[in-house]
Amino acid sequence: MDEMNRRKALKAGLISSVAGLSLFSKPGYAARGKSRKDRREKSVEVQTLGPDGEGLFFGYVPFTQPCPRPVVATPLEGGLNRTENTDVFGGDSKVLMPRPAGYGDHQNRQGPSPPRSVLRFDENHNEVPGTGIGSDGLHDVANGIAPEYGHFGEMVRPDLLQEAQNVYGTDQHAVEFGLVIESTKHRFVPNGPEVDVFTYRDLAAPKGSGTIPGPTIVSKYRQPAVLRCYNTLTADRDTAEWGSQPNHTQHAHETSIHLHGGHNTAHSDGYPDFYTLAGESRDYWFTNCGPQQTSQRTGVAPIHGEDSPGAHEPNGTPERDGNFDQAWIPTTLWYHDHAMDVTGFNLASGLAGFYLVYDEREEYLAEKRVIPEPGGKYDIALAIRDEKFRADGSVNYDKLDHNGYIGDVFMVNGKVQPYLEVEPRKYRLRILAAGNARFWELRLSSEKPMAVIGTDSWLLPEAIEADSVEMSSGMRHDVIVDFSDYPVGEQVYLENIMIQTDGRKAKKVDPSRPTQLLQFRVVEPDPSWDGDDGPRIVTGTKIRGRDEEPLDDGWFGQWAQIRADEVVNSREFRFGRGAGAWTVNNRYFNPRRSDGNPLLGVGAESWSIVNKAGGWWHPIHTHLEGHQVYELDGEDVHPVLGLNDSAGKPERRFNQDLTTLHGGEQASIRVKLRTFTGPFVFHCHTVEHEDMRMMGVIDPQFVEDVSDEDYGLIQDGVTLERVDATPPLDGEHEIHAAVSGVEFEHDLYLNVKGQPDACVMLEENGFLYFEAKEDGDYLFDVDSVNKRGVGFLSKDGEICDFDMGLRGNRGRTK
Amino acid sequence: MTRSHRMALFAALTLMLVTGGCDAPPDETPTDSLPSVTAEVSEVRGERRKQSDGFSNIELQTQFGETVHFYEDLIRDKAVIVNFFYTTCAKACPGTSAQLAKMNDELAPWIGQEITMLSLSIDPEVDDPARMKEYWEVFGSKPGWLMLTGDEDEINRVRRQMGVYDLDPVIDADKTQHAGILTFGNDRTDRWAALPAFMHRERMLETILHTTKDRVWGRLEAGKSRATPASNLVEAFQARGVVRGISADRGQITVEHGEIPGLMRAMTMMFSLADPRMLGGVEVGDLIDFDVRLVDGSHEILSVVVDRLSTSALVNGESSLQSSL
Repeated sequence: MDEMNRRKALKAGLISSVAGLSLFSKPGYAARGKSRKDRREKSVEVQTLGPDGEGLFFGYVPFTQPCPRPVVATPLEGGLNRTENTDVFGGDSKVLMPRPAGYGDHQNRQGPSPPRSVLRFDENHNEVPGTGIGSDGLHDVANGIAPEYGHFGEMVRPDLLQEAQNVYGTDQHAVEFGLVIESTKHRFVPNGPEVDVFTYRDLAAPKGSGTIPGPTIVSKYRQPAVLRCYNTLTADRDTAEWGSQPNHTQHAHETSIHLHGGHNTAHSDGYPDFYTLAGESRDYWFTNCGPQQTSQRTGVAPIHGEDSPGAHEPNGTPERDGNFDQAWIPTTLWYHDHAMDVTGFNLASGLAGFYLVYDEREEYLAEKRVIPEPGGKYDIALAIRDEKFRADGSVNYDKLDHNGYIGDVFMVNGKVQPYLEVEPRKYRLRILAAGNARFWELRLSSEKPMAVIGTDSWLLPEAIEADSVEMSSGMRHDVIVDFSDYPVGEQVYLENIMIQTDGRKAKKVDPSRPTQLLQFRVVEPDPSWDGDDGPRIVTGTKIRGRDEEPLDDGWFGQWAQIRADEVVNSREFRFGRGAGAWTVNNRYFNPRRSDGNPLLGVGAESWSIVNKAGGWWHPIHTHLEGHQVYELDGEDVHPVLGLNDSAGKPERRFNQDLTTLHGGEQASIRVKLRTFTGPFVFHCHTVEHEDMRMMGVIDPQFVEDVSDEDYGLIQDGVTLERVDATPPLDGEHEIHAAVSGVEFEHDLYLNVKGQPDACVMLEENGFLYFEAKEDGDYLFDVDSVNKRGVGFLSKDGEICDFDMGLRGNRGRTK
Repeated sequence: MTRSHRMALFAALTLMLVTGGCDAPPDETPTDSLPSVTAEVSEVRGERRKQSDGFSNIELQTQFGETVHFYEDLIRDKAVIVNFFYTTCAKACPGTSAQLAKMNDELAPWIGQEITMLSLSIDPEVDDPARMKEYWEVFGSKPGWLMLTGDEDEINRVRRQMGVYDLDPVIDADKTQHAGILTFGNDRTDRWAALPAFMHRERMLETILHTTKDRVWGRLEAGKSRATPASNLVEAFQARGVVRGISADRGQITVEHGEIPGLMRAMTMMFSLADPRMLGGVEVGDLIDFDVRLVDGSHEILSVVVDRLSTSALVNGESSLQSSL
């Protein structure tokens, strides 16, 4: 290959396009106004490698390696049902950590407050029928792993509370997944070098077999699961047996798993410093259900009460849906690392995976062949990413590039520009923008539209056909592509037409210079297929339906807007830049400070999210709950106005957990905070901005509405007791272990680790290390205890007393 | 094509990308953004690829007039907190410097040996060593805190390598914009991060300690402690401290002691006793002189002598613990 061809090849394909001069104020929308014909008139310069691409990136010719489908995690029998001990670190695998019973110690005003809507009393102090234990389907999700669901409002009957603790506060749980975080090797191209990466590996899989992306966890709606996570990224060569190789970074690495799009407790939400430290394991309790229905207190009727139109229909029985808001049934989630200050590095190293939830409606749609079977052969999760490499093939992550990590090599499911064989039929593609900082405008090379059926974690009420979709880091688009539109033998590409060269923002959408990411090769259909592919998905095809409208298929619409009359409070969050770092409302992220304390279960809030950060783009992600966008730069983008009336991208006007604020934009979003007290973060999902403190904290609180006369009320012979709410984070105090799930109490910690009888300080090259020892044997690294995310070093005195004040100054500079 | 050929080719291609050497039309060069900084990453300095591979080894002068080299003398195998300042800066610099001075106190046990503070002047024409020394004295003459000056272009290059820059050239040209960022890391572990200097200080200290104090390969060689040379010689060290706890049944004693030169720094820790009978006559609060040795990675006290005179002076408040040790 001559130099010129090589240069051409370089410029194309593997290397991202260089930006052009012109800037659109709203690049994402620039192409939308043009007809397809207009665009064709411009010559399309396809940014891909030709057959003479040899020599690039270890000889890899694009679209010559297959696109892997993420492996599916094996569910393990959970808790006390377990017959063998599978604990990686030698602990008791039957016991949950954090302990379920440890959550919500009301008597001592510790721990978070419970949901308020479970047991209710009317004005005559009588229990409201249909409230209390077992009346609302909460048994389904509690099941030993989410006792928060089983607690009561601020007025409790101690006997019922005890019953709840007996029921929910145990190690009993049905489904468990084991994930091992390990350092392993990965090939991005077939003949390339094996590169050091971090991966999630299924506990049941052999050591070293961790994959990028990690194993896909598949759960059924309302069937809770425990995700047991083992972090083997220690700085300890002796523990190398936990993985197939020692941790390549050679130092301990903290992690925190966030289930992006999940509705979970604070201790299972991957809060940035609720770490799973190296050499430790942690249980994440995933409820796999929707939020609790909004309280009746506001006068807003639940979507599904006994008298609602759908109450006795297939999808509307209280027995099935309980108090869950079925407008927010999750479907395409992903889990990824969220550890404070190092999320960017951990993501670039490979720590991300899919998490899929399917419910009865999806099963029904699949049965009617509207969509392919969830998790089946024609339902494919695609994680697209950009990465930067060094000449030796290793990942070149710049830990000091705070603008955003923009790669120039593109991959799908951990492989550089692969191909995927598809049959001429409908496919559900769950596209995840898994890059750290890149914005994408994705389309098919045929310029045929894709039918979007879901955005982020939720399905849409109706499908919307889109010529292209704009994605930011962390977004998902669930699309249906019908490959019967193409003859067998045809090649169609998923391609990116967003031009971006730095983390500040995308330059523009340029349809004339696409970068091809994935090649679909249309092959002969499976001969066993009966050829019935169900209805074609077009704009308007009912998916979840909306507002309880009766659907032709006998179901009632599930999706619902958050109405203006539900809004009880408004807030403004301004995302800005200050002295080279990032701010929310001119403040830097502090994991111990709450930036807002919405009331739980009371109506909705309207948040004005404002980006005045000097032209930078920021995708804003909300934890705990998704949101709906109602206004963009003052323009009404109300989702019920109709599909054609919305400005921007109509498919992103329903449920989403990410909203991109382009430079200077502001949006009005509505969010309902329900079920769990915090802390939860909301943040910019350009991960380097997030690491540079572009995060805020909400700590939702329950409203105190119990009148004094309710004290001491006797019901059924039992005196009611009042439960006080936990005060929100004040910026100074530690978070109670029951909230964080971090068992910092020494007794609990030492029960696991052993009782140290000595502390040893080790020194090497001027660096000091502290080890706790028992009978002269290494027990644990004291520094790692300090990293538990709750408390400062000097509070460690009970294990090893390193009183900083007494140590004096050892400086050796003049 | 051999592997090494491919590697070389890829390296060359990467370089072309980096330098904009490809045949890109001139109008495709972004005008509103500065060239990629990470692209400057150059040499391979050790077995492992590290962030510091991209740090220039520029020559600098300290406030004491010493000549040092940035990478070799200040970064390699060290932990640092780096910021950029200039002595005539009235806006963000004094606040950041005051913040650093406070942190210097709070990080005292580590400052100087484990962690060094480096403040690089981005106005080196004006900031000569004498001027910087004056500035250093204004902020309390804190130990382990070097102010550095040198060639302006070179320092600006290092500044960009440390991630302290703005993509907007107008903002980047404003020196005051760079004063509010603290970049910190540990070259041995290759962990680096940065935070705004004006965030909650305790939170920042936590993160700085997380980032800089990680150990590398704990228990490097199984059974060998790194506290002493890898020899089995039984060496006794003389030490002095205050008894903080006695566990007679386990034959252990907790002592808050001063520095034990060659063995450990001042700390409170539990020791085993070679012979529990030593405990006779020793009480909590006593100031003791003792001999300690390291046996199989665990510390053992060989002899204990109570310093009655100093103990009473200490108890009566006639002397401080600091001076007694």
